[in-house]
Amino acid sequence: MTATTDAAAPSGALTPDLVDVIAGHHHRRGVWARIPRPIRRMVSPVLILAAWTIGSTTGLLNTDLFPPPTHVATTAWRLLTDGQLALHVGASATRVLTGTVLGVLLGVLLAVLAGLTRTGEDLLDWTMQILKAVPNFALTPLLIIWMGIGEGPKIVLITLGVAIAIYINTYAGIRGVDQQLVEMAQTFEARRSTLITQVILPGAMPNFLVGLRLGLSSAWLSLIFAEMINTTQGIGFLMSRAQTNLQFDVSLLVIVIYAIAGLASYSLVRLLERLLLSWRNGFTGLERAS
Amino acid sequence: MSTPVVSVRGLRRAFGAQQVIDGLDLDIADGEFVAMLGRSGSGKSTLLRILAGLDDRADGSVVVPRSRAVVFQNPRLLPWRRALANVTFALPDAGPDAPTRAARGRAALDEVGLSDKARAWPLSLSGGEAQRVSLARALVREPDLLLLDEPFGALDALTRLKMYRLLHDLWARRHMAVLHVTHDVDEAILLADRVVVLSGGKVSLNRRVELSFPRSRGDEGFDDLRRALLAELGVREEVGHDRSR
Repeated sequence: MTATTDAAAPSGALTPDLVDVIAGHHHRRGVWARIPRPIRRMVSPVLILAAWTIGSTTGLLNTDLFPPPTHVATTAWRLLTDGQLALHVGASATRVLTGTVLGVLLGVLLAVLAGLTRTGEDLLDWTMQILKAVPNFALTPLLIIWMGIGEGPKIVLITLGVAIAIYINTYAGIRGVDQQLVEMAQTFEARRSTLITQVILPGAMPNFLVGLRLGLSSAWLSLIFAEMINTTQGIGFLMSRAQTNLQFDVSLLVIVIYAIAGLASYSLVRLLERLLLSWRNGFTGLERAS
Repeated sequence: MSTPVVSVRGLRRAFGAQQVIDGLDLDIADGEFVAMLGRSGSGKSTLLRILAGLDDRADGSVVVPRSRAVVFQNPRLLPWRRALANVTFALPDAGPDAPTRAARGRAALDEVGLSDKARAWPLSLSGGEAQRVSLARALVREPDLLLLDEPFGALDALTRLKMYRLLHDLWARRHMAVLHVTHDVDEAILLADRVVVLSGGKVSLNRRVELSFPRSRGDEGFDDLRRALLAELGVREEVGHDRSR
């Protein structure tokens, strides 16, 4: 009945179910796992493009309403060489950039004011949460009445959307900062500015970047609405003109531009995450699904 | 005994109806190492927080040095700053002739044996290393009072032994006053000049440790002191009972 005889019995119903957790796993790294990840990421966009091409060449898609990729590419080249693309994309990008920068500054400022003290929270947080519930675009007509039809209302529309997305997330991030770290800073008599720049803001950084990602999507979305306001420049103008003139190739091109802009914004946030959150050792995903 | 650097008189602190500290008196002399024992909820951490300036809702008189530093059980390092930046966090400039903040930080890291980890991220450090960075962060300020709140509580037994030696050597070299809150009786006896036991919100036992350094667990008088302290804490050390009878 001693432990030794129990352990020595190699067979029978009492034998535990043993597995080798290392053997074989190295050799199971398949072809997919060996492809560099940037290339792996291109697989789904390429598949969509391929489906589109096949659809238009086989006549499955009506080419008048749904021009093939080659046609859209030709149009892109034409607009690129006559300078129209640079003009419109430039105007739109400037709006998004200006609105985003202003929105980020405003959102972070409000989040710090509301996040740092209870008075700030009482004065700001409810208002911001209510503003979040108001659809941005409901403000468009009012903004035109208040500010005219120039760049003003367009920038303000983008700024508001970005500021709210940044505020909501950064505020949550600030309130999520470890109380123990704040206490530690207090025992070392850290100045208020040190507390904010070295403890609170870095602690809220992961949430801020989520806010930035949402803010940038909202910026491009706001841009579509903003450029419906009387304008002769910008990709929104390009799109509405194409719709009026039934230029479906241009319409599709504008959608592709929006997609590229979205991708560029997303890559920017990913890059910032890599640079600013390199201290984290977060979950990076399983290599295989199972 | 030189003049006390810590002087607590008639300290009282209540949380709701519960009087956690109830008329406590405590002096700590300059350069003295005091270990404070107490059962959970005896008010050890509350007292330490009051001395650290983290809790001012107490009554009584508490005089402490302006320059003091705390080491918590959890190292509380900023995960987004590298080890060296954590050490020099909120460190005031010492004046134009003094070494730079970075140089002082490096010296402190060197003192705790981590000069090669200056650029390491806190999340990549082991528990013992992180606590040493936290200790360096406290030392770099050259405090007159070092407050330690169960600093080795989360470390494994082997690392803890190394930390005892490190802490003792640092104290012997710097000779600042230390208040070391712990629930480990052996740790208290190994390190301290004096052990105080907190119970019922007061100091219930105040005992000088007469053992000379170097100390180890088998030393003459060690067991007697341990038994006395455990008895004061209301704990018996023996496990099980004799089954042959």
